[in-house]
Amino acid sequence: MKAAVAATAVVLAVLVQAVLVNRLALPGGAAPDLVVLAVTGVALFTGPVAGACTGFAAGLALDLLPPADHELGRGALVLCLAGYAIAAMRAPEKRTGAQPYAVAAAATLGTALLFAFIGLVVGDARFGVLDVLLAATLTLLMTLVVSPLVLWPLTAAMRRLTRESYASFATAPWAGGMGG
Amino acid sequence: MPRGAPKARLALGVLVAASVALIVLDSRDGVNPVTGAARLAGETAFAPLSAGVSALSGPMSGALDTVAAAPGAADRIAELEKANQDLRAELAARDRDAGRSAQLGDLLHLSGLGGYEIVPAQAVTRVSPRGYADAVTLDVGTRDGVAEDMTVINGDGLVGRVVQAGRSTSTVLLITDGASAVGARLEGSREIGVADGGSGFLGDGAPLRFELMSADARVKEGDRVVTLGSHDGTPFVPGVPVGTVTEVEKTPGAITRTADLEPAVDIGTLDVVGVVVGGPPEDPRDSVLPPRERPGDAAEPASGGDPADAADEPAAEDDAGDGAARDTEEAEAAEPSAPADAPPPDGGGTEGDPAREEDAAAGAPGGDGPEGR
Repeated sequence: MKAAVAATAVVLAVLVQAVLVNRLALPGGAAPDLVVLAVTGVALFTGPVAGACTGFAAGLALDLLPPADHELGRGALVLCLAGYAIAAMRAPEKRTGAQPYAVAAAATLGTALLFAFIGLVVGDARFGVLDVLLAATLTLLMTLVVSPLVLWPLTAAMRRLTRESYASFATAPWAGGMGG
Repeated sequence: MPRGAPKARLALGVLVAASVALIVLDSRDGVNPVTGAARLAGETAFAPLSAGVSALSGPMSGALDTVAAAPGAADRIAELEKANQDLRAELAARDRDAGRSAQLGDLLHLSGLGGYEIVPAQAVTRVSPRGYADAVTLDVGTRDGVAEDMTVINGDGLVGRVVQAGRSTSTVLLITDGASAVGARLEGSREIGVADGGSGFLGDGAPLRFELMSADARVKEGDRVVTLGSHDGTPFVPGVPVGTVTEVEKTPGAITRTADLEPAVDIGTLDVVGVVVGGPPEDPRDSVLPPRERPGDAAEPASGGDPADAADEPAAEDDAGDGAARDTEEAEAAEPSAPADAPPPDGGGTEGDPAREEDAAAGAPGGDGPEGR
């Protein structure tokens, strides 16, 4: 159940991002990153492996869908690391209040910078450091603006489902491990 | 890593390796079968979804774009409209500019000859609220130093006088108006008279009628008439060409002699005019009149003596002129005659000043020269 919700959320986020958000002509050429929000929301309530897999799948989907403006695997690598990190550092207190938003903000900034860094390493000559910083800032702001729309329902649903699974598997030592 | 760390790290390592492999594969030149197929799959999945969203959200997205671009679009539209207007105006003005420039040149020439200090103006409307008055509105007013009862001239001669001075506009009663009377003097003689506007409501066609004070004055066709001038140059400064005699009425036994005048100014095509805000220091006499077209016309023995006359007789002439002007003003009766306070010598007078000095030095002899021939 939890896996189904998580998968649905990520797929929806990817599709909306690719089909709808990326075509909006927003100021600065940046766009809110719904996929990072979805991955964050999922990874906060799953284990590292599930988080990494979720991020990898979401990133790969984004890489595959047009526009193909970067190498295949760049988004997958970035989001995979993000999902893993969030899930590995997760703690129960990170799931309540404003904590998910702080985590999402850090994830957004981190993915944006890492994405650009890989681009620099690979030899993407389309941007410089200033462009990267500006784009990352814009993306962060826009993502934070729309983050409640994604994070609030997602974390609510995941929290409910996680509580249920904790209720059933509270005693199991691996309960949080492969929970996704 | 808290729980299941080795397993998780293994999974992460596999995924990262896969990602890096994909990046490396894809960043190599040429078409790679693996990434090419993957991208093709992605496009295949994306195309219908995107097309669907486009179909659904096309109008909405267009509207969104329009709304997003609206402030800029408004500016852009305004900018383009302004540019369009400017270009139109420029195009329309191009034809007029040459004519306007020539008129302004004539005006400055005339005011320089007479030593008049002028404020250039443009006749903006031909006001005739009831169809009776022959008046125009100028685009200058009290803020430009224009006051009531100032002389208005253009490059050819006398236009009229200011009867109403607003802050930024003023109304000029043209000399052809039925209520206008100008104290005037025959060129080259001391015969004085009054030039009445003839285009009244029941005008008989002659735009100006010149009534001489003296019954035995000699006047003939082709004689030219200049303003006599009045006290302090109000309302008319001396020496401005008024018109040319076209017909002398033969009325034996009449107390006065009258003649029809053709105005020096083409009243119908007024454009650039000048309001005289400062009269000449001394009567320019006939020096403002353009040289005769027929120098062999003789009949100018008197003009040879003009410089001498001008030197010793302006006072007497002015006195007579004053009387005539006052008479005519009283005859008009309907109009409030403003006190003859000295007009402020500012605003636009800068062009007049050097010209006046120039005129004082060379203008009078220059004007007389051709006539003496």
